[in-house]
Amino acid sequence: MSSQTQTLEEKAQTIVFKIFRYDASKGKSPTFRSYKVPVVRGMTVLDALLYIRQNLDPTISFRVSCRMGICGSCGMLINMVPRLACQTQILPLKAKVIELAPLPNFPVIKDLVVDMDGFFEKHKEVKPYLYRIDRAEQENPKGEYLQTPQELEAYLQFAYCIKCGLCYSACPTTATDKKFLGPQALSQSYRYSADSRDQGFKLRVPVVDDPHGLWRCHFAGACSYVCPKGVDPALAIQLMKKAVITGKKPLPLR
Amino acid sequence: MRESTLWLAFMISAILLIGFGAYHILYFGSAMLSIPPGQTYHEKISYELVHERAKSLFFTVMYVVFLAVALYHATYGIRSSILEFTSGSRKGKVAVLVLAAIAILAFIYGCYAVIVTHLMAVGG
Amino acid sequence: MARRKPGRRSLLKTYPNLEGVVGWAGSIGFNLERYLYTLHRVTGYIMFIYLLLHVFVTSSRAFGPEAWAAAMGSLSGPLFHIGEFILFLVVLFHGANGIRLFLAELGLGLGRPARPVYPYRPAFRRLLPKVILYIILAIWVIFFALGYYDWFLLGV
Repeated sequence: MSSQTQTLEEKAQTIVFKIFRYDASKGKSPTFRSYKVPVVRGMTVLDALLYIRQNLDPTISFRVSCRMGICGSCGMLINMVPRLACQTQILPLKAKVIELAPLPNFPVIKDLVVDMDGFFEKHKEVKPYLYRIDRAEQENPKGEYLQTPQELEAYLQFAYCIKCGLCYSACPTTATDKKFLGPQALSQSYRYSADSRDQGFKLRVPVVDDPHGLWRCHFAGACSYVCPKGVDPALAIQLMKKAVITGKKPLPLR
Repeated sequence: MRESTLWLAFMISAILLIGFGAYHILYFGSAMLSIPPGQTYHEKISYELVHERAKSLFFTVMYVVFLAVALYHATYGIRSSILEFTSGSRKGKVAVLVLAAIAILAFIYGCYAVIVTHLMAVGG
Repeated sequence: MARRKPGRRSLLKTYPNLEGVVGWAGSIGFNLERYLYTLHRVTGYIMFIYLLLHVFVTSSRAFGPEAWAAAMGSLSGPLFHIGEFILFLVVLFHGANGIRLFLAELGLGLGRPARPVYPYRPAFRRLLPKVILYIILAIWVIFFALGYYDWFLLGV
């Protein structure tokens, strides 16, 4: 009688998932294949993908790890917008057909798995670590680097980046410019430059002050719009632009 | 030259162009905000008034500056587009050079016209 | 200038997934500023072509009154009258949006970083940037109306 005694199949509605399939070893061009998945309230796209893999098609490939929006593995294009599969509930999308595709602007290895190497290389280029002029002291510190709460607030928001790549996919510049550093790398250049413990601002400036660096960002804001952790890379990039123009290390605003 | 310097000049040219552009458009395009008052559009673009305005050195110099600023802004913007669409490849570098050449030619041609008209109006 | 390696090539054969111009133009589902960016670019291209033509045509002043009259004559007519108004709209949009971008890209008006609290709100959705955005759109609409009145109804 009551809904609690219904099985999953009885109270679920069927949603069709159209998933991008590509297998380099088969040599064929990519296709979309459809799967019918029973969906109940609260199910995420990741749940649906695991269901498909377990029950419908074991050959489907996708990345998954924490299933709670902290590892950044499950980024994919869900109905034309880059999202984390584990953080996207199916029913609120209000669509009978959900299209899953790999994150754009990354080369596709198989199905929904993309090659993030270029992305990580660009991240490494901005020297994403605390740099001290006295390297010997940094290797053998005599105490902690102290930081006031104000100094922490100056960069903390940008430290929440999980390197999921959604911002890089959403950015209109990365869509055409292979050499563009990308919103993630540029915002991380600000995160470290604005950190009071870091002394490497001058090192990062030549990396980002480049024809394919900071200045190819035009404040479309799509990166911040899709960021699952509220990092707001667009803000970091505009603040970095101000810092590079003034030539001074960004200091916490009083 | 550092990219940030080029970009800053681009931003400054943007602000200057708002001033120049607004004045230029309102001068020729607006019947409400006629400067000077009373002249119709067709009068303003007639050769007689062009000749009159060309007598002024200030107008001539302003035209040259306006053209330079506008061409710089446009060239940097299109170069930005080219860099993004070609990812700085050799094709892209050639395209940027062609663009710069077009801009310089346009500047020379425009300056020539404005200066020659000024000299004709003052001389003659 | 930093030299950039294109990134370690994966040993696997991959499917290139660059969105290209379609991605640059913007797919559905993004924020308003994303589409304003595309429009800003497109208006820029239009204005660049126009600038070159305009300089070429108005430079006919140096070749005497006949050349000037011929050039102005070829640009008269109702189609050109409407075309010039559309151009005015294009220039107005680019200028107005440009003011917004000028402020934002110099880091003015965006505020300072703050701890992200769910639902996450980007800096450009805070009060001041939103007000600036609405003012810019309002400027475009108001001058559209004023310009229409001035150009078509007042008569030249």
